[in-house]
Amino acid sequence: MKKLIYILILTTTIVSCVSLEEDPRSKISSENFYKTESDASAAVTAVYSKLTHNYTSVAYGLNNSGFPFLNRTPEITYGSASDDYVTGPSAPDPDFRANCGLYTNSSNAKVLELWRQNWEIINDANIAIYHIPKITGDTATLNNYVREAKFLRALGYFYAVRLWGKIPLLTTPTESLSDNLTPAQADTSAIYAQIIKDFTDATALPNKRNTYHATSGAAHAFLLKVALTRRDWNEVVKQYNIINGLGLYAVSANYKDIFDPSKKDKEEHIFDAYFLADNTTGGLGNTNLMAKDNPPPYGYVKNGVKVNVKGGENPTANVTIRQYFKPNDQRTSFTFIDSVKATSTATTYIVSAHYNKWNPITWTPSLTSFQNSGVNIPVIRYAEVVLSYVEAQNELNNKAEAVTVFNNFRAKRSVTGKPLPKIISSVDKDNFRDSIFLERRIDFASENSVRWFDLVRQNGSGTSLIYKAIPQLIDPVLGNPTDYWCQTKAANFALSLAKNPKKFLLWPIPLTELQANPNLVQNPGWE
Amino acid sequence: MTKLVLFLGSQKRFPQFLFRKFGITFLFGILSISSVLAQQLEIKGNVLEEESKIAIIGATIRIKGQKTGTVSNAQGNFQLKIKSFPATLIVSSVGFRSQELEFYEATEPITVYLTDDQNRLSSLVVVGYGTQKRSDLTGSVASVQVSQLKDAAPTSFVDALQGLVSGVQVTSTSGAPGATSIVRIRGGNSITGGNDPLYVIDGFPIYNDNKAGDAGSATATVGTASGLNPLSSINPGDIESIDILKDASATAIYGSRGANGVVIITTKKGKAGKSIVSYDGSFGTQTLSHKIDLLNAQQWATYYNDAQGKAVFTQDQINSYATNSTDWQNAAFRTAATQNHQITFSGGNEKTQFSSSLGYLGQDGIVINTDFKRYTGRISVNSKLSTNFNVGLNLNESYSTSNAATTGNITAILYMPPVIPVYDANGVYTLYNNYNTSGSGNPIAYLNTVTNQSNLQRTLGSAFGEYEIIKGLKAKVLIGADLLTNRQYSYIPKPLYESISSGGSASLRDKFTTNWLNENTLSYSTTINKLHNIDLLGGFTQQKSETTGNVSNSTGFANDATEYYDLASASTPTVASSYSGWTLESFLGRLNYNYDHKYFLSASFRADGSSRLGANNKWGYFPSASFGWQLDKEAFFKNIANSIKLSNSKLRLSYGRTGNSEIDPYQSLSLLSSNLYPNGSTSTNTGFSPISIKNENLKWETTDQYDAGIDLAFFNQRIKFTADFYYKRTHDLLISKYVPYSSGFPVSLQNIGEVENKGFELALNTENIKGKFNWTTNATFSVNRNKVLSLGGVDQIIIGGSTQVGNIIMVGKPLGAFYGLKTDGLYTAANLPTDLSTTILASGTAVGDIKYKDLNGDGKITTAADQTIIGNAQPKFIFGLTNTFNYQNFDLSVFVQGSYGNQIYSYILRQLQTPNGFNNSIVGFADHYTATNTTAQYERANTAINNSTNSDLYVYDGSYVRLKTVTLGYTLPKNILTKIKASNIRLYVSGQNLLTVSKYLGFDPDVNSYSQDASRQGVDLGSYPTAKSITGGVNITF
Repeated sequence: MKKLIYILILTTTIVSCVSLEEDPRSKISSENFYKTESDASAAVTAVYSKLTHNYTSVAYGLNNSGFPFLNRTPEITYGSASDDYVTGPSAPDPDFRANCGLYTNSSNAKVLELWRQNWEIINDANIAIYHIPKITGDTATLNNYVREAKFLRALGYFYAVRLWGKIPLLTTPTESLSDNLTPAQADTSAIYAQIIKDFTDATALPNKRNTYHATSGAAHAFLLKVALTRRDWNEVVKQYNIINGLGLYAVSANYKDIFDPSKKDKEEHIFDAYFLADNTTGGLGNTNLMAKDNPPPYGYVKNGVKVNVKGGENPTANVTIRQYFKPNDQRTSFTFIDSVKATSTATTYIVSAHYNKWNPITWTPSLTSFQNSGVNIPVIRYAEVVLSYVEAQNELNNKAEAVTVFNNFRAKRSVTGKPLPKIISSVDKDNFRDSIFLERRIDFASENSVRWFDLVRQNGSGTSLIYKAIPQLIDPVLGNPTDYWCQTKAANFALSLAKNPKKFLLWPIPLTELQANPNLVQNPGWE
Repeated sequence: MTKLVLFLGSQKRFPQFLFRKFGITFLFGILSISSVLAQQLEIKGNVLEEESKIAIIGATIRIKGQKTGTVSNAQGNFQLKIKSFPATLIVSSVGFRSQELEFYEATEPITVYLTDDQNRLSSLVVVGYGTQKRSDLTGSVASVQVSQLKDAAPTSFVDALQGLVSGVQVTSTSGAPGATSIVRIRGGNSITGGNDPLYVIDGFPIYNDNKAGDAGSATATVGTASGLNPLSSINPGDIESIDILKDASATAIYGSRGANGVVIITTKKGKAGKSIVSYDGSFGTQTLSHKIDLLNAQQWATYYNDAQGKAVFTQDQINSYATNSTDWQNAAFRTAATQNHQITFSGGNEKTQFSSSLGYLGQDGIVINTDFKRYTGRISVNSKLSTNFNVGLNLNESYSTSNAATTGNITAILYMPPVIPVYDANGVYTLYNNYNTSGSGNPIAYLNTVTNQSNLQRTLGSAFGEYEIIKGLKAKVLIGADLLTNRQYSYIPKPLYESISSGGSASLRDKFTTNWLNENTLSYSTTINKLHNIDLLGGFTQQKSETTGNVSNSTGFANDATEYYDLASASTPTVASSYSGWTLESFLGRLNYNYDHKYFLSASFRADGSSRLGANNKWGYFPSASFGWQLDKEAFFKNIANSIKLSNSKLRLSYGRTGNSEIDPYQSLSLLSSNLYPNGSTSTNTGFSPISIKNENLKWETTDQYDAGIDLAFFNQRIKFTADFYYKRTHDLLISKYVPYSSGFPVSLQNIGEVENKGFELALNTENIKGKFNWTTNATFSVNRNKVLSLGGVDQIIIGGSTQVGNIIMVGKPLGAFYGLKTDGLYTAANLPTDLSTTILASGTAVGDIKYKDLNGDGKITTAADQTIIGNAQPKFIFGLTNTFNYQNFDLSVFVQGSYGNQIYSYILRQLQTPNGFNNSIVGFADHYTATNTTAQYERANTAINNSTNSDLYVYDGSYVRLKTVTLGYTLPKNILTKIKASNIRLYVSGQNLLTVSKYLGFDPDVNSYSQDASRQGVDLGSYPTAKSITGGVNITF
């Protein structure tokens, strides 16, 4: 029996030398994070990163790595549905074509991805807002991290509420399957209240521009934009005055400078999606995919080598917008590329108008790829603050002030010696409104955060989507109509307007989401 | 004498191998006493193993009808008193066939030869944490005849299991040396979890994860080079026995790892007696078993002209190709040599036995510059330290090294147009296929100049101590370790096409896996009233595995001088490292009870705690129960049994629950991943955000299995038949499921879905002719039907990815179903639609293009609406048939094996049927549609139509019958052996894969390119082809 005891002792000592707790080591788990100031910084940086980079898609093999939230996703979802774009001649992606041709439905994979990215930003911001206050450290620093996270959460909800209207309102993070995964929708008023609260909290951030970080001015600029969207004209004027009072912002004398990667964070910049020229191609880090997307269709000829054989699936600028650009407008030559030249043969190829705004070769002539230019994508800039103010004053019938500010703005955009014509103060209110929207359309062309939402709110009543005209595109070489998808866009738009004028004011809640969350109700027109 | 009788009786309830090894000394003690008492008539004799003529120690010799008996001593000698003549002596020993000898008078000392009881009906079967007499089994356990492994000289024992065991499906993933097959026991239960059985090697449970033998991927390689299968590190020559546990009553003792069946491997152990030295050696050659018929240069040039729509090749050029065609397969495949050597040294005395071996396997691959070499060393020692304390040690050491071809190499061999020579006019390699717009490099240049080596070192060792506390009660402690080190090197030189953009590409990858095991068991065995036989087992085990890895890649070298030895000198080095680990804690218990060996009851229970599962469900509980009824022992049945010459009849019934948790670690946690954001214009900040949602409830995949079996034997065991019917239902499948995106996450691994497997398996062993000429037949036949019952709310999961290969998981269909369009010949002028936008080929569709079927009748052909199930990788049945013949000193065995009713989705043949002429094509493409050949079988050649749709055109009948092994052996006669003082010498010649009957046009119908991925079965990506081989060898024993 003695030996039995020995054996039992031996056995029990060996017992429990392994633990069933997991220790991932090469990965960080949420249990052992959110402990230090640098963890807080990383939690907020992650949310910023989601604006332009698409990590989750890659990790889950969703095959959607090519279009992050503010980087290219708008261009192939709501951006392409606007009159800024028609798809390239051989766009093979049916979801993309459906968005552009205005015949999309709730199964659209690109819209699903837009929805997913939007919620990833909101949840990541919620995680930061929830965990950071529990960290011990410099309170002022930590509070600012929370404010930045609130700014980003408000930004996420501001996009979501404009795109889908009633959506769930989540202000606590979802981290476990045991959390409520099937929230119901909240009223848009509650969502806007939360957005305004978050942006207002963020106005306590520092004023000084600090690369990508949100600032007090950025929070005010978005409060202005929220007010504009909600037609709260007095609030727009109020925020405009606050922003001007900061003394930090001005309309850039040279339109090109706004996009110059060596002139970031200058007078017109308020809040940008940030990129870095690192001379690498692709990757998850720093690719401005707008740059990759907008080459001319017949090959960008550089040093005798065709860099891109076809326009492929890339969107091209709608010719209707090209015609609004006057030769004496300094924005014209920078915004478009109308011809390309083969240096070896000196042959000039005329191409249909393409956006040149993001073309990295403008800034780095040695590049052989359209990527990694380091050109930032503005999310909101001072020109929008100014034009919003003009719009508000026009709506408030303070025409004189509106016209003065508007003409000052136009003067800045003119080429010296041949200024753009001034608007006269006797212009009728509705015509002036059209002029403001046209000016926005020109100034913010292919800056996706602007045009679609302008189309939604253009008629002011919020009863239908307004397209002025969607004409055919003519091939500049062959003289034939080339815009197969543009034709369908026009036809389908006419059709959807007749059937359901409200359709497209809101986008469909993705079918996958409706199936996964039975508490959601589809938006009108998409049932 | 009573003591001896009692001991013999207890043989049935003692774990038999322990008895054999450790009970001997005790027996001799008793015997010596009893022999003094011997005063009556006596028979003296010697018991030898027939083949090796080695003394059998501990053989039981008793008189029929009496309880009197004795056992043979260390020299195999025995003497036994006889009360009266005539007497019938029964000589038996575990693992040998019993012999009955009739005596009418006292004789000279006799010699009794016992032969291996190949069918092992009454022999011991290794089951989980112990052994059982086969006759006492209530579960479904198959034992493999290891002798069949020996001559085929396979790289891995896994390959040799094919067709030998009913209910076990073995499919080949690659014919590359060092790669091995995958095993499915009674079908696959899991969709995303593992489906491989648990391997238990000398008591050490190993889930074979091919990732452990593959340290990662290198940059700029062409496809992947399959890593070494860790199981190939086990030398088949060292294996003593393989037992396969199939039903849940047998596997439930392995709990969470038992759902896919268990393969128990026992390596050779020493036996007391004369020391034995044996040498086994063989040499062989391998050749490609089946070449794919492709276009020759003339045919291809003509085809290319048709595809281009113009005469790129002039008629003169085409004519010149008649004598100037490159056969890339001939350039890449070769006759490869193999050799295998093993020296075994074993022996021992009553106290200590040992067995050791050294082995070498050298195998050249049939693809140039590929090979596999394995060096193995093994030692096994068992020692009886005192009358009740045994210790033992097993140590297997192996080092394997392999030069591999990549998947891209094999396909490039097939794709290269025959008009391109291997070398250009200057004698240097042609660079690439310039007829393909996307280009592909010269595979011969790649194979000859690229280094792509993988080394695998494995140490698998265990030591145990076993103490008998009181009679029948034993405590055993086992500690083991499995250490795997994988190192891979590669270098792609600058001049190669694959290196043009990277400027030389080097890679160095390491992976280290350590796996520790501790098992503590208590077993008790007793008989009450000579009728109630009881075995009890209880234990606690724990296992811990950790894997660390690092991958260093580098591209952009100044020159090729340093290869992978100086990664830092390249312009862009990249590094990565990884860690993962898991632990498993278990409590187990088992009761085996039988009443007079007539009624059997077995019940087991295991509780497993796994680190890999959610905090709320770490522990899983796995019970089983089974019943057996030895019908022929019933009085009422005896007459019937005798009249139909039934010598054994047993019914078995079992139920059990097993689990599966073969998922990567950390899936229940919320893990963070890093992401970057530019900080200003020069640097980036790193952010961290969750990449996965926490699932505290993540739990086991659970399989409930029911089994009903019958064992029958007729004519004094000359015909033996076993049949088993089973039904398995697996629920809580681990599947990635969409979660509402408002959570911020796309998917999470959840327990949803159900799969069922049902089937039956038959095994038949017959001794057709017995005497001077012996003929035995072993046949196996297995049927399994697999069906997906639920996918947790969705109807189907289409398996997509970089290579669309047409797999789908659909409720109501089996795993391994293929999904695609159905075709209906070619478009003719009569049936070409006027509105071409309704065809899937869209604009440019013309007469001679493939016509797909509009299954939903909407007038359009779309992948969304017109795809359907077009095939199934699951066979209707599989079978194996072995015939063994012995005449005098000759032995011959012929093994045929096959599969029926399964289909192959041949991605490689689809690629070889691309009508653009960029690559070479199947020879059938010579008969393609043209204006002058309107009744052609194949579509028109053209570069415009991108016909890359999954369709039934690429689904092939995968049925085959294969002459898997033929072995002819000759054992030298005894008079010659005596002269050279050897106890046995056998010469043999053996052929493998000599003949395969199949309709499949690819390399081999036995193919499963996606290896362990259950959702992509039956796909042929153009893997390294299997070889046929001829081997000649010798077995010598001194």
